[in-house]
Amino acid sequence: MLCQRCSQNPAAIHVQRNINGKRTQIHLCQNCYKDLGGTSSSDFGWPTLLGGIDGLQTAVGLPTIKQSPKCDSCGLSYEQFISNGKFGCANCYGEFHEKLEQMFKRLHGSATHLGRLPGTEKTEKTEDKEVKKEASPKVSKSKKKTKEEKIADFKQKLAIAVKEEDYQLAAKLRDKIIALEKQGGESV
Amino acid sequence: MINHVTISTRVRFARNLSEFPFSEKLTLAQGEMIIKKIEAVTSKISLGGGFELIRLSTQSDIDCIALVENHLISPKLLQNKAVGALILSKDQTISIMINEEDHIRIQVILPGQQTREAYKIAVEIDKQMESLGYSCSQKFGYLTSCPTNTGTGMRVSIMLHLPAIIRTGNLEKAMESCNKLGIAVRGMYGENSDALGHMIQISNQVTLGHTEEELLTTVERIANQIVDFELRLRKSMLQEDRLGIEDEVYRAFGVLANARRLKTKEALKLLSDLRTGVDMGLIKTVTKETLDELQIVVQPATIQKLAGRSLPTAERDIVRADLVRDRIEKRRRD
Repeated sequence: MLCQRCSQNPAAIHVQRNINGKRTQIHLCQNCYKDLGGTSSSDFGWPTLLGGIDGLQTAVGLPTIKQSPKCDSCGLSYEQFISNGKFGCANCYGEFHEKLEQMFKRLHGSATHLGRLPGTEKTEKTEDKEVKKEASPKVSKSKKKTKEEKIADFKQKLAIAVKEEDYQLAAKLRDKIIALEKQGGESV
Repeated sequence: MINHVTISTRVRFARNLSEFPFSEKLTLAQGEMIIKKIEAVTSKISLGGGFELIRLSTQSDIDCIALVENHLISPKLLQNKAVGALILSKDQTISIMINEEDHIRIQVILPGQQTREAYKIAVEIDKQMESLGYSCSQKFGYLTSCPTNTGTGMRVSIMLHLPAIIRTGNLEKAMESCNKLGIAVRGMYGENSDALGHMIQISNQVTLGHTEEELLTTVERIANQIVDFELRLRKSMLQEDRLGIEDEVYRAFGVLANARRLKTKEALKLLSDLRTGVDMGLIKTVTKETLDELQIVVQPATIQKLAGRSLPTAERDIVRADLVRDRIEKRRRD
């Protein structure tokens, strides 16, 4: 069977369609699928990248030592999550919370959101006190950022800013750290 | 910044509705409910001239692939065709993919480098849609199906035309520096694709732990550095061998304006050479807009969509050459 896009090469990727219960397929060759930006679903890199040692064991088919947590809302296990790299629902974030901290640090260099949230212009301006609105109550298990964690985050970013010679940002971060350090002991 | 190297800017937000599981666990009925909810909200938005809902299940295969070639949907959305949909603004600058990897992918594409403008529009749409109840947490921000999008859920991409960097073998070097700074470098059609027509897309890899402002600034700064590098290389290439460059540009122009048969990759390569000539002011009868249009028109599924039927390769090469000649000649007559 030839690729439906180029009609030249044999079709190797078959994309399933389901129209009103009738199943059909689009047939594409490797080149066209790649040209269109398609990615392979079986990516060995995922488990190790997401799950660290647990992930490496999952990738090579070894059972993980610890009991794998399971999301009580969608039924996805942590093992399933690290093997295919996708959460099943928003509640998974709450269920796997303990393991996510390290994973996000590996992926993004940080595990704490600093950007916008619904109902706010910018969290940087409004600070967390005003960002009370939680769209998903199930994930509110995630613990609140303490002052120390916030300072540590800012310090990490300050080091990057200095390294990249972005002195404007560095000055802004330094001021934020000083302001936080001057504040009382309670979490912010 | 206005330059000839930057082709377009794209800002996209990944969002999910808190009352539904993510796409991996979604039933067809739930997917359908999501489409209806989003359609109801977007029908009230007047940005981009208003919106139209396109259900992939009602589109032919060729039309679906043409949407990917036009950068309006991702190849991934094709895999969720049963409940995959697109909400497209009349001016085609705003597209909202429904039930892709996330329930909602708001995408704004503007010509040239317009990161702030694209971001502003995306935020406007986002604000009007957030009444649907997004999945988010204070700690992790916007919760997405894939952890690589968690946080801001924002991807800022800038498409660059880099013939000098690629031809002088400097792309690897540029890619290495970008990767160290958390910037991904990809070919024209996103992940894993080759640099068709010397088109490269750069975007932020990291989405968590930085504000949107910081991410925009980083991508802009890196894009500006790459553009500067490209322009410097072009200048030195021109100084070293002006006649050679001119020869290539005019040959490309000659073939595109006269050929009777053109293959996709050949057309993209020649369009890249012609674009270089237009940028340098050597060719004045072809505009940047024509080149942008041709970049899409020469793609296999788009040609078949324009022809209104499925075409075998040989016939398609003839139609492609006709379309290119027509566009170039038409602009010359105007």
